[in-house]
Amino acid sequence: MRRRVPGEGPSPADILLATALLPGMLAMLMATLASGSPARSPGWIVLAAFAMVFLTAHIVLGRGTRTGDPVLFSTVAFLSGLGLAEVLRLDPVLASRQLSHVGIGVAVACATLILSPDLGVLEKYKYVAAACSLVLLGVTILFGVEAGGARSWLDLGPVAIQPSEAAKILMVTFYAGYLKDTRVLLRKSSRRVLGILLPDPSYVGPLVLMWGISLVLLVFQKDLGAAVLFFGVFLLMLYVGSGRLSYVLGGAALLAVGGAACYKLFPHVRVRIDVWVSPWRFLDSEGYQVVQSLFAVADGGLIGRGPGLGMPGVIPAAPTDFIFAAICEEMGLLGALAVVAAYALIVYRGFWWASRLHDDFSALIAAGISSLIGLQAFTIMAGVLGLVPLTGVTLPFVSYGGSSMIASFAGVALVLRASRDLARERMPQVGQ
Amino acid sequence: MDSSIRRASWALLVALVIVAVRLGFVVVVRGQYLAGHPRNPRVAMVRRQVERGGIYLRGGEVVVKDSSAGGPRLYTGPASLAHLVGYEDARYGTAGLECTYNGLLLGLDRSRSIAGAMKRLLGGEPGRGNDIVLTVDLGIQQAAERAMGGRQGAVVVFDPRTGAVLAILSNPGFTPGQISSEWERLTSDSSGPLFNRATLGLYPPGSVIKPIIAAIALSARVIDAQDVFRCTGAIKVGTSADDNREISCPSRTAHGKVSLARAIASSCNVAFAQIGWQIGAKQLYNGFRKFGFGESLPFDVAATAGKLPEDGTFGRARVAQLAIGQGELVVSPLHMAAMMGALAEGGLMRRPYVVSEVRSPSGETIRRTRSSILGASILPSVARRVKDMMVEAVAQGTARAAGIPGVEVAGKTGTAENPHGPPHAWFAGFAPASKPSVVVVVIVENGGSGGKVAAPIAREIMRAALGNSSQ
Repeated sequence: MRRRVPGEGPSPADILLATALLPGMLAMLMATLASGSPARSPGWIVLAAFAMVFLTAHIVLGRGTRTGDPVLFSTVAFLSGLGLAEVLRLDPVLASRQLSHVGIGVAVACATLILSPDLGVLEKYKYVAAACSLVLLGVTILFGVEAGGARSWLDLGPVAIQPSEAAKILMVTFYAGYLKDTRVLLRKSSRRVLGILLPDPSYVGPLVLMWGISLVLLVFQKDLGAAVLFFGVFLLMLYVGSGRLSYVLGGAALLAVGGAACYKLFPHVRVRIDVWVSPWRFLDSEGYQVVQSLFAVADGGLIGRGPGLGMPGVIPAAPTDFIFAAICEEMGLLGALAVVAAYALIVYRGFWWASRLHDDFSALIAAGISSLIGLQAFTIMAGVLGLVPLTGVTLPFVSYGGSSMIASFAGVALVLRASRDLARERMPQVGQ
Repeated sequence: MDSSIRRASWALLVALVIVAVRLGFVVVVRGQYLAGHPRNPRVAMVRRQVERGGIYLRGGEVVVKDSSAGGPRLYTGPASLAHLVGYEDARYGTAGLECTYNGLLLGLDRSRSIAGAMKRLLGGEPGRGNDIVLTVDLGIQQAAERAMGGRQGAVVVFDPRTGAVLAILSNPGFTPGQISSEWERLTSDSSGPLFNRATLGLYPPGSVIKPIIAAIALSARVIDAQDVFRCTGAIKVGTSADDNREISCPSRTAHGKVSLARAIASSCNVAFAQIGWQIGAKQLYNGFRKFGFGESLPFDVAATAGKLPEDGTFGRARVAQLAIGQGELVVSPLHMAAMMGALAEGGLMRRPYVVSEVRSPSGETIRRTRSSILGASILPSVARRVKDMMVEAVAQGTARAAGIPGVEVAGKTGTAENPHGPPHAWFAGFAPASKPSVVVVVIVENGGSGGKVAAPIAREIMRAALGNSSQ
């Protein structure tokens, strides 16, 4: 492969990114035109600035040569474009803030890709990452403020942040480092208790402890969605590292026991489950959100009302938890399926790299981050559709929210970084 | 790690595919229902902009339509169709067909389609909802209205060959256009004027159930058409020496030795108590189920099928009571009509329907109801024999008042005991017996004798139906 010279025409990475940016930009254009006063709408600025952010990043990253996996990068750009368009349509003021979230997120990703010499550096700090993660969650318990039923926010004056978003990425880093060291032992050593193969407690102990601590923290914060994610990602990474299905089954049993206990102990969990079983019975109370969301999804039909032409404003928490329902209404079944497909692509590419990376740490990071994004997207999309109990997690790259957006970009930057290492190893001439 | 990586990624991808399938289910399968749901706030918004579709009778007569785009509704149909058609009111919501067909009347089906979306993009709002055409015949409906003359009760007239409802009414009624101004009075009136007795009213059937019992007995082969029963005017149904419950015929008149046909024609309770015992609890229960008791009754507006006793016990006394249509057995007039349809049509029970088609604003039919069968209740041979017995009941039995010169009418009357006062007067039957084209069910609440009160009403309706309808 030769180095491209300016004027030689668009590279595949150029075309991929342009294609990915187009739907979001088109949706922003339509939303702007459909608004009351298109001439004075901030939509034009949001639209132009959004394009600028990704084009700048693309050029800074050497037009794809230093981005790592261009498919992954473009998919993320596609999702953030659609999300920004829907936020713009719902609330232009939120859109300009969301734009800055995307800007910061992309900047963080670029910095990670350009500055970090090697993912192996992170590995050395795995216990620091775990400690940071715990401190973040602990601080939230002590000083957190409640919003939307969960005490998961830190009020820092001008901005409020959700430390659990950063904690998730840090936790994946810790799991990856720890599993790399112990995975061979986890796979081999086992004792038989009541006919069930159990791993040696000295290896699996710290992991379970870690999981228990984070779960306790989250139960105190009443952030059910984050708790489910921490646990799910932990199980998936443990399975990837050890290859032992029995761990997953044991974990699932733990989850069932924990879930039953939460159902008995916490009224807010009980309500979620009851509403999930029969939302129509709680049409005027706790089931209102899900039913309104289903109305919106159905109203979108096959190709949607068109950005700016539906009534997604009547869905509660539309820009954050329920953005997927708003997308369904205005972009239809086809738009929503494209979003689902984008997450499938992120999962597929992440694991594809995981299976090719020589370094176990990088592979576990790639698998862990893709699990996190895929599982989080599943949790909220399925929740919005009434398929699983609703938990308040964001749709990665799409929902309004700075902490989630920046953390998601940071996470995907790690996968991009890992994929670039492999590209270098295999094709040393790329980017020379 | 390769295989575990592959499996973990498969698990996540399958989860996402499940989301995609659920998405398709909500949009494609549940879409129409959810988009037209009265609690969907988008519906009220669309309502303000479009001209809601009209509802028309079989002959093209307008029942209700928008006075101008955005409402209010202008009701011009026969007053007796108020329960069926229902109302649409900004404050009190929708009822009847206006409720069931809300989405189609508003044209929400098109706004969800690609063609509708294209129209919107090009700037042309659909603007008009779909029209609905009913199977109801104006002449028969008016005849039923006249014949009932404001008496409290219900009438169902339908075509047993298709299941198409030709007339349906419930008394007392209301004026759909004045629903908001009269709401207080309508909801506090103890006679329940908003309640659709024809489809939702549950009444003890009394003797009108006897043809059904005869059909169940003949199907189970526990009796023969030649069997003879002895009636001494009353029979003890109690199970022990000191349990003196009994079933008697009116004024304890002893019918003497009666055949099955005679038992139906003279409505002999004592004979039917014995028939009930011969059928037995289990076969009686199964027989009722075959006629749709305890099931749901699909219809274009809310409707209910008959119900068997709630405690589910079928002792000796209970079986005897069920066999004469008492003992907590209840049935709706619409379900009664469907069962009569099965006797008329060789045992096939047709699904009753009242909306024949839905038409787009440009006049093309976008949905047409096809006649469908709910189930085969009895064998054709059994249906034919019971039909002959019902003909005898009209020719020389208790249902003589339903007779029309020159037409062979099959029918059965009922005088159903109930805890609310004088007995309910029932008639259920069909004509012409050789090739039935019309089923008529009449109930007059607390009207007294079925033969004296309900049968003459049914005669007038049948006469109109056989004269009017384009058979």
